[in-house]
Amino acid sequence: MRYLIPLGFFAFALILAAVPLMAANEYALRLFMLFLIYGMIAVGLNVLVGLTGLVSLGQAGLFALGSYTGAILATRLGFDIVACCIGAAIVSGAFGVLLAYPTMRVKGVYLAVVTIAFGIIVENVAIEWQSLTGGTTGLSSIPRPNVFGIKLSGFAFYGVLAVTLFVFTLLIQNLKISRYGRTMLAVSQSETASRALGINPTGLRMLAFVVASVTAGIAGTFYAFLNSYISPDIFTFSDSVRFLLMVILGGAGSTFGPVIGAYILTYLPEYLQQFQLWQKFAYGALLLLVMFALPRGILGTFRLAFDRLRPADPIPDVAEGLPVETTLRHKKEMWTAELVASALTVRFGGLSALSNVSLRVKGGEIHALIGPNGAGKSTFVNTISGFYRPDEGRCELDGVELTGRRSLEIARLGLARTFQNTELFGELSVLENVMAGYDQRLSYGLLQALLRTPRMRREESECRRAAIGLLGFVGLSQYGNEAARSLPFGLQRRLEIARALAGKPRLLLLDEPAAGLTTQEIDDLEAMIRRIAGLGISVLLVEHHVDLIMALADTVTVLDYGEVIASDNPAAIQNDPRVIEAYFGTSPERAETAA
Amino acid sequence: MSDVLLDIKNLELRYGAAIAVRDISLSVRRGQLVAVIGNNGAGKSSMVRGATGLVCPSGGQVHFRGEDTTGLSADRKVSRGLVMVPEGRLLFPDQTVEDNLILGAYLRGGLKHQASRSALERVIGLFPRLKERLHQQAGSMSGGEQQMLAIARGLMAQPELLIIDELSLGLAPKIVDQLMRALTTLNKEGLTILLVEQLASHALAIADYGFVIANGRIAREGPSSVLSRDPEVMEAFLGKKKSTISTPKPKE
Repeated sequence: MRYLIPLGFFAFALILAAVPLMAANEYALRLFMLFLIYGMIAVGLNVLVGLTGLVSLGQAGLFALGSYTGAILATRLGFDIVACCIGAAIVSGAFGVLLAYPTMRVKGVYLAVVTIAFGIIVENVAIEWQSLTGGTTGLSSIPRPNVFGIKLSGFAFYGVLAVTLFVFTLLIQNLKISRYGRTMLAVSQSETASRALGINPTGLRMLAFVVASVTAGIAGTFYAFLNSYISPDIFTFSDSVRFLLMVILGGAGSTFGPVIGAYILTYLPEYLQQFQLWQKFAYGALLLLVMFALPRGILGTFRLAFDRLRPADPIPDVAEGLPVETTLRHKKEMWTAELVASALTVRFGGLSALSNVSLRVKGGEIHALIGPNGAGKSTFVNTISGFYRPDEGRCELDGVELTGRRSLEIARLGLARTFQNTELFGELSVLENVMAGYDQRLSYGLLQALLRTPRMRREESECRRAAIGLLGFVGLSQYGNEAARSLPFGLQRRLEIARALAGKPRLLLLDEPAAGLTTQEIDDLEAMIRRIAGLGISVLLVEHHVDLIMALADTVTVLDYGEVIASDNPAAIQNDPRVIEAYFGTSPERAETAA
Repeated sequence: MSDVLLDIKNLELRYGAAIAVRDISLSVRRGQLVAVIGNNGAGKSSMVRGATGLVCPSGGQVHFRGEDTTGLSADRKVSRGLVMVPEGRLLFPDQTVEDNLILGAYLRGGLKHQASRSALERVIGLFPRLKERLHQQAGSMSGGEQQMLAIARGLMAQPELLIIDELSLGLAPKIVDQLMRALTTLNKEGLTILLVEQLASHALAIADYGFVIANGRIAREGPSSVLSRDPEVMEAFLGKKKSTISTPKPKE
């Protein structure tokens, strides 16, 4: 498995080198160069579609932007091809940022509509802004490609295109296996969980849009030089659809899938010309057939079949893992992490979900929060972790104000949480889930990710070792390679704990960690929480299992109808008549005799 | 053998290469309340998925009401009277409580039929809390109310056998007691129930018969009064520590 991708790149390089030697005539070579250009668009779009799970139907617009920018710079200012590419990258990249902006508000199909609108606008501007774009007649007599004043021959230009596509594919592969690829996939699966881990979904989506735009822009410039003539009818909506199809047909998310998709969709119309009138029908029918037989695209489906046949990846070696003590322990003097919530009030419509709730979790303490269903526990958890805004009151962690901050900032300040109904990144492996949790502790940047610098590799290996150690800590070592969604429910909860711990939190907020566990498993959980607290991490525990709370908690706070009705040590809480009435249902004494 | 409602024989279930259920044989007789307990990953939920037709078993048979229903899809099984309340409730959170209930009667023709209307009255009688909230969005209710709705929605399909996966998940002790009592009532009214539950003490307290699943196999079975005194079961599932939470009284 480890050699499959390098082998793929080797084969890819061989093919790119062999084609010009074998090309029958100039037309054949030109067609292949067209494929190389489409390949660049598809490979870039793959970051958007395959990693962040967003759909763009406006790539032709970005392609046109790059094309026109390159053509105008070359014809009017006499720039060479390198300068034109840089100009095109800047212009389309800027529009990519603009296009990413709506993702903060719209998702899925709605976003697709936004991108369609963008494509239409670009096409229309290209037609109407005649002084700049030449209107419907377009721009002609674009000079032959030259670099630093030296004219490129057909073969040299081929070389430039081939190397560019190869480098794009390689860089995007590097991006995919770095923190960026991992967190993009994470965001596409659960934005809520990403925020809770301090991952910035908006930033990552913007990055994906910029990558897809810059590659489309550069491809556009190359296209202008290859064709030496461009006009608006080359950049229509149906081209946008074709670019998206390349990615999906080849296999979204796979390294070479988009390249294969681009190849097929460049050559297919040529081969189908023999059907004459029925050409479009054949094109559509073939696509339909392929997607039905290979629902995840060509490479995606083959990969799935291959994974089923080959022996499973070896389970990450436990010995490789860093002990949690090294990963998580805070310095002694930092043991004061104290959560103070004062007079929090949260209203939904006219309903008060929390009224005037104050709570203090002292440093290194295990503090339990209990109460009947609907008492406001989840609201409280969501408020202090920044998912809801309190109407009144404030909270702070270690003296730092949390009120008004976004959830991802709060996560970076050291508040980690799990979710009642588990919010795992289902398609990522168990190990990758924990590594995504570690993301806020990584410091390498985009350039280092693209170039795989030693620092990037060192940090990644440290992240991986810490994650392996954490999996051992929660007893999931043997599941490291499995998809998180395939874990049984109870184990998913443990994985959430490991993932939350990976960020080295000061305070861990556990939302019903024992739900769905058997007594034996609850005993293990009890020991685990004790060890976590022993490392200097304060724990706020929302739970229904009374045994667990009584065994663990230093302090218990009871909520009912959004108000604190009691807050004391466990023994006192157990005998509080109000708590018995609201929560236990029967008096503990009676229960003891019944049991 | 006509009183055997559900009969699972040598069920085997795989996800890709992983075996979730190795060999489970289990039968539920008409009118029984049967509990299934076991650790996480033992294969309980997979067994339920195989029995209800959500996942096609790779081996063994599932007979329901004497007919071979192996490989029959879940919706067909529902129309024959085998209904499941899924783990984690899986309500339609944006729809109202009433809509959720009506959707439960989908295969019975919605509320057009008298039988569905009386079923609605019955479930509202059983869970009065739902009546107060008929027009509220299901997702906005508390966990306990959502679980009530999940059960009620299952009952709307007028099942002969109701399979409940993880009744107590995320619920306060008081609510768990209430729901367990509701199941006892339903069972007394003639509904056959298969309860898959982590809170073994509670499940065995209301059940007639119990199965313990471990490693994808039935490790133990027997009348629940016998199982709850079995030392190994006690150690593994009932806890060494004395329970301080209330336990429903055994069924008389």
